Amino acid sequence: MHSPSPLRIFLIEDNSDHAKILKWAFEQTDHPTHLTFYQDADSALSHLGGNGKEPSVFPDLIFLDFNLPGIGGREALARLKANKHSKDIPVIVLSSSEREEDVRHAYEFGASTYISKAVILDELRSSLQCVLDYWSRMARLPRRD
Amino acid sequence: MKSSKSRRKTTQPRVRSTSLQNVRESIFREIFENSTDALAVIEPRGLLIAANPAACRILGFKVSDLGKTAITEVLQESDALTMIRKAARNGRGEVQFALRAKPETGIRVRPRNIGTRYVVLSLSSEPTSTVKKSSRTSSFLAQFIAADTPDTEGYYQSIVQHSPYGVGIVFGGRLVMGNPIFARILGYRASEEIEGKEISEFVDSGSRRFFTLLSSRKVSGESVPAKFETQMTRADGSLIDVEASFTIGSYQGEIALNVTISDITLRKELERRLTDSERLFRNVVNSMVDALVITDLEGKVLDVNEEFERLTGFSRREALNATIPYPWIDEEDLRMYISWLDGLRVKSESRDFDLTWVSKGGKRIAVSLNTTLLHNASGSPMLMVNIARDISERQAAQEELGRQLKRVEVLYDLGKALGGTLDPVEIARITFEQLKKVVPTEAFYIDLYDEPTGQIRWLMGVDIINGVQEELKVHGERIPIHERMANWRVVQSRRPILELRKSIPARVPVVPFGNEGRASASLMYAPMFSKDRIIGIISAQSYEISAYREDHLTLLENIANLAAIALEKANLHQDALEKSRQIEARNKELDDFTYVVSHDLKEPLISVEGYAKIIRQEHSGGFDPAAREYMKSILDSCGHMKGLIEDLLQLSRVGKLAEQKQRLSLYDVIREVLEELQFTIRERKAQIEVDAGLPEVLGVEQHLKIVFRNLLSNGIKFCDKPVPKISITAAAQGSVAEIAVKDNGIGIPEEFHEKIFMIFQRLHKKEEYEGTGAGLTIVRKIIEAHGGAIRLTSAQGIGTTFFFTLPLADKKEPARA
Repeated sequence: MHSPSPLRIFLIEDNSDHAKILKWAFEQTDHPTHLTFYQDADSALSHLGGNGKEPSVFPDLIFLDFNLPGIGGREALARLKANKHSKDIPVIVLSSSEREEDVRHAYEFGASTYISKAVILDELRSSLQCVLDYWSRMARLPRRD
Repeated sequence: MKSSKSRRKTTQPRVRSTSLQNVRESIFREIFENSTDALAVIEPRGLLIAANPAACRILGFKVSDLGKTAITEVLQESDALTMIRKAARNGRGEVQFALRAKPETGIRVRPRNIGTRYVVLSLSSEPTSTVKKSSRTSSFLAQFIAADTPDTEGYYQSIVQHSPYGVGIVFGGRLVMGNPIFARILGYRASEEIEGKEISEFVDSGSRRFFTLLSSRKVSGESVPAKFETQMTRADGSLIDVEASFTIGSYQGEIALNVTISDITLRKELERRLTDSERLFRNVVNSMVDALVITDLEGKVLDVNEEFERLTGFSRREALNATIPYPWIDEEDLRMYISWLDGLRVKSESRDFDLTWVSKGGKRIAVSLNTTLLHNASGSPMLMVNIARDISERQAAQEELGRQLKRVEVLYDLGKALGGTLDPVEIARITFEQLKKVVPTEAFYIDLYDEPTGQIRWLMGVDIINGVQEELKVHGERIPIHERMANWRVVQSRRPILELRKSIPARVPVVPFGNEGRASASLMYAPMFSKDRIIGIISAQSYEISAYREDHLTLLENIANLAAIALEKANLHQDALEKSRQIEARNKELDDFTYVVSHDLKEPLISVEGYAKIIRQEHSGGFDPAAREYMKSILDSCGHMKGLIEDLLQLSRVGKLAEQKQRLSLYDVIREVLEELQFTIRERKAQIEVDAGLPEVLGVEQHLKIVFRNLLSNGIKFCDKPVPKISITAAAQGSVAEIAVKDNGIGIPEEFHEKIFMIFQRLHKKEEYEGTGAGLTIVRKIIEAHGGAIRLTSAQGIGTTFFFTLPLADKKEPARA
């Protein structure tokens, strides 16, 4: 499935190695994507109206590393879901943890999908393909608001 | 002689006449009464005033009629009295009459006047000749009695000769005459053998002085006993018991002494025997350990023994003739006693009966009374014999036994109750509640003592003020033991202390606790020993003076030691709890550490693997074969390391979710695992048999899946047979199920049976069998987190069976679908 315009994606990831590998993985999918990297949740939030200003652009999807330093992934997810500009944007949680507790928390705090980072490259690529297939379709459906 | 003697005794009351008196009376009486002649005496009006047994027989006359019946009422002839008087006047006349009661019987009567008023009748129903013969006696009597003045010697001698008793005349200390009976009693054949001898020769030396004294008194007209008993010497030198009497007679015109004797050997013997048996009876009665009261049927006391006197303090004299209500029976018991006696009289049953006696001094005595009716030979009740045993001691012993039993019971209850709690304050409460049952306790405390520091700490205390029990607030500060004098003394002496204050100070400067306005008067302190160590001091106190005795102290000592054991147990339990909490915390720390480390290891690994994959895909075009090989090794190592990290993560997690156990069908769990493993199973053509009857267990589903996944994949992996075969069965063992997973694999040497459960321990080279070596470690951790255990049996080349236990699910609830 090819889309006329690339999917706008915010990737919140503190580990630059992981960010590079993920960027490579995204390129392996057949979805054109426009990736914006953030090292922490606050900087991403500030671009989503968290600083009081009306955001200029909205991502179609947010990829969030659940192992963020500082406030941590869980709190970041909670803030994203509390922010009226970002609350309806699907958040795909990326995590190196397969701990059931972490997965449950992610969904409880509003994650749309949970992908384990351990499933690197081949699997990540196919997983990303899947996720992007699904969410690109969802993203293009008319907004309810 | 003997027979006449006994007759004399029985017939004595027959003589009613009072006119037959003076010194000769006794002689007359003897002759009259014992004569085989039938003799009767009438007075002027014809009333019969005396009759001997023979006369009574002939006349058909009763002794009781003497003095009331006239001779004319007995004889048929109306002028009988006139005829008798006429015949008497004639001297030798004899009259014949018929008896009024039996007219066919003829009686001949020979009357003689006695003096001017009385007539003695010699009676006979025999032929004339016999009457004549026997009339000699009556004529003698008539002459003898009629004389108002001393008779001539001839008469006397005649009296002496004819007397049925032994009669001798003593004059000048010499026996001048003795009748044949006198001689016979003394063992001689004839009077001649004794006459002329000193009377003292015939008197036993022991009685001689008395005999001589009496005889001289008699002769000089002084009073002497009418009769006396003495012993005389017989011809053969033996002694004989005689009854003797003295009368005044004459010999050759001088006053002489008549000595009358009769043989009383038989009577003495009977008396002696009677005395012996009575003495025996009294000895027996007095040596009885029981008190004895003999009463008549109405309850009048006839006799008591010495034990009765001792027990009640009432003397025999005081008790004799006492009647119900006896002063020695407790008033409350009296009614019961009387009704019981009534029952005894009716039913003649003898039985024991407990009641209370009261001594003369007012002391109450518990006795067990047995009353029996004594019957005479014909079977009618005669006497009541009360035997009373003092059971005060027995009762006291029983009460003491009761007290001891109560104490044992309390100690037992205390031990039992203390076993049910591990809370020190609760232990103190229970101790107090039990103590209160056997020791009067108004104040109580337990101080805990710490030997190394010499400090005490208040554990718990109770005070009862005006009946209100109040638990004193705990202020658990530690203070040096010497600040509590009594506690300090207990610890120093290692012995309990009993302190009895003579008076209660109205107000004391220092009161240990509680009642500020009032100090205890009786105080006990006991050390609480745990083995040799004093771990506390227990105190029981009372506001009463002298509330405690030594046995209370002993009891407190025992209770203190029981409480000490319970406190020690509680302490040990607290320690154990603390330790297990620490272990748990340490385990959790370790798990968290493992988790964090593993996780942190994972991040760089992801990068390494990620870059390696990018290189392999994007940049490996120019690689030579060696570089390609190295690249592959990097990726393999990443894979292996990822596995190790995953195992570590899993291991750190399986201990945590044990609380989330739920009811699971083992069969369903295994089926799901088999589905996961279906690829491997198909690849190895493995045959897995699962018992359809596997039970439901309590467990964490995901963890149990890990267990079966590991065991099954191990079973398939470590198998050199073409077809791996695994069977899973289970057996219930009480509240747990033992599950057996049996394979036909390569087997595990016994020396490795423990090692295989240690993390990352591998028995084989990686090239032989893949794996991290954490699987069985995880399995064991899961089983243990479920409260179970795992073991194995194995035979090399044949196979291995793993056995492990899991808690069985309650049968009632349905399993989760």
